Amino acid sequence: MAKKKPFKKDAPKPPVATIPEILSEPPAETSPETAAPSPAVSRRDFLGRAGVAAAALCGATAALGLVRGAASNTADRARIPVEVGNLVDFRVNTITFIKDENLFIVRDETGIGALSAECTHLGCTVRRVEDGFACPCHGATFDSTGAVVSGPARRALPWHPLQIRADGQLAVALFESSTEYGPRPIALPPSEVL
Amino acid sequence: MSRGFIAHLHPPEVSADTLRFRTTFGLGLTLIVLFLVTAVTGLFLMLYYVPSPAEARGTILDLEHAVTFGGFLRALHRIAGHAMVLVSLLHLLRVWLKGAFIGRALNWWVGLGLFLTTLGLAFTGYLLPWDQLSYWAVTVSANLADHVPLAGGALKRLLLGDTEVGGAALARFYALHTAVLPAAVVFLTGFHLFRLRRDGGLARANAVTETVPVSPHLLLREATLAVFVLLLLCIAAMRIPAPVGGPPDIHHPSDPEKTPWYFLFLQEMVSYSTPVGAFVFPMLLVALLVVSPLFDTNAAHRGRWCGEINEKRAFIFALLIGAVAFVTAEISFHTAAAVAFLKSASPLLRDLLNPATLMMLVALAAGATFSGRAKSRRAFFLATLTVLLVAVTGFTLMGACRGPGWVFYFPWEASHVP
Repeated sequence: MAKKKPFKKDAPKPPVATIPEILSEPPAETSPETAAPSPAVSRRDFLGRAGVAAAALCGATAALGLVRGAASNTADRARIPVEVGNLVDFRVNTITFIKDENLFIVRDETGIGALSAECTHLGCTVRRVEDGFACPCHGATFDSTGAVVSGPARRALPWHPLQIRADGQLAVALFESSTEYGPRPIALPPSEVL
Repeated sequence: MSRGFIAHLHPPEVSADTLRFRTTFGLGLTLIVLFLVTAVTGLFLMLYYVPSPAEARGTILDLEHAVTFGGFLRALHRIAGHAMVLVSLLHLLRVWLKGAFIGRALNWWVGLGLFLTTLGLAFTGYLLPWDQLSYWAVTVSANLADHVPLAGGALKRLLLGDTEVGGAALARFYALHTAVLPAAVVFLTGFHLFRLRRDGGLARANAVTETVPVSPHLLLREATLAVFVLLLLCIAAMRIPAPVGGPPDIHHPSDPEKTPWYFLFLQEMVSYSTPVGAFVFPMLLVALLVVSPLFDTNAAHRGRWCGEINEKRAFIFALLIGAVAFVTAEISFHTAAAVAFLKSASPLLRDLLNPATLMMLVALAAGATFSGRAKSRRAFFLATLTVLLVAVTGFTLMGACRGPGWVFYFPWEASHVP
């Protein structure tokens, strides 16, 4: 026969204080054995650390905000082609420096093109020399098609796309470029050659 | 006097043998005097200078010609600034060669930070007049920042404050030169002196035998040196006026457009290869300096010039090897055969085959050889850094001899723009 489980009602009851007793007695000291076990981090330490973490988070956010603010919002120059003159202003077999746009208009028998004058090494403006271009800052030299001859530049001077409008005005797209050197980007029909 | 503020900055007593001039050559104190001179003269210049591209050069001309003592104070500011770069380099060399950094890593790093901040102050300073040199130096350095992988574009925008060189860049460099970097110097110097006292004062080879009270022994020596340095500065400022460069021609850099002497080595190296010259070589130099106190830890070498006989040998040989290697590298790089070969070589090869890479390899080889022989880490750092510093000196001299078209002229060959 199964052992009878003691019925709960028969289990010895713990002493229960009556309500008058509860109200009249002073609150009992919680003995250490019955209190909750002491935590690894005290409440004080936890709050302190949480405060430091919150302050650190605020500081990091503020620093990020400052850095973002330091990166200016000035827009890039509008990417519309700039006009650099009329076709009739540039004679055949000439190289003309357009100061304000930092480029050379190169025209020969085969066509006309816009070559950037910004040295591909570290950005100084190159100057025209006998058989090409040379940069005074660190001695980079290029030939008349913009290809690198010697010095520290590693990329050829880029050509900017050049449009000839109906009235002969030349428009250069400054923010597009290619480094292919040789044939000009725009070839003129033979009747247009001066 | 013995309880004043200056005395308070010092310990009550110092060891008698560190009072000798040859212990430190007074370089640290000289730097403090130089910084104070640049700060005071700088404050005066700020009363007249306007940080705008249109007006900056005009205010500089006013200072030079119209303001009472303007020319003198401007010259003083410039000479003290140049001197500060030179003396901080000498101070670094003294601390490094004497092994005074051994066991004092934190203070060494603070000192390196101060050196780089000084270079930053010098750089931002010559951008302010907004003359030819200023304009093109900003252009080149912003494009150098652009070469940093990944963050380059953002870094360039941060430096320039815009997409192009202009007033925004000038404003930023003005803020750096007059506020941010001087504050960094003050803070770092204070910490540097605090650490010096905490680490036990000036590095000594032998145990302390005799101490003397700081006041008057040390304070009197410091005051004498300070007065002497001030006198030299004032005489130099009266004899050497600060130049005013021409107005910036934003369409044409001058031919040649040369940096001041302390960056000539960078300009020379960058004319061979940007990644090696502007990044790999300087980073190797700085990295070796930074890690020295972590590996070079033999306390027996602290306070001695170059350590013991093996290390002294390593240093002398490294000097000789460095000089020979540099001359060989430069001559072979400029022979017709080398020039022809490099013309047709790929960009990668052209970045790798140049005197700067060669000197780095020689430095590391020298370091490995001498440290192996002497069985000493100090010998490694002495040899490697000595060869690199010989290379830096060599590149500075090369850069000084470059003329129009960045062509090399021997000093006796042609009178060219310095």
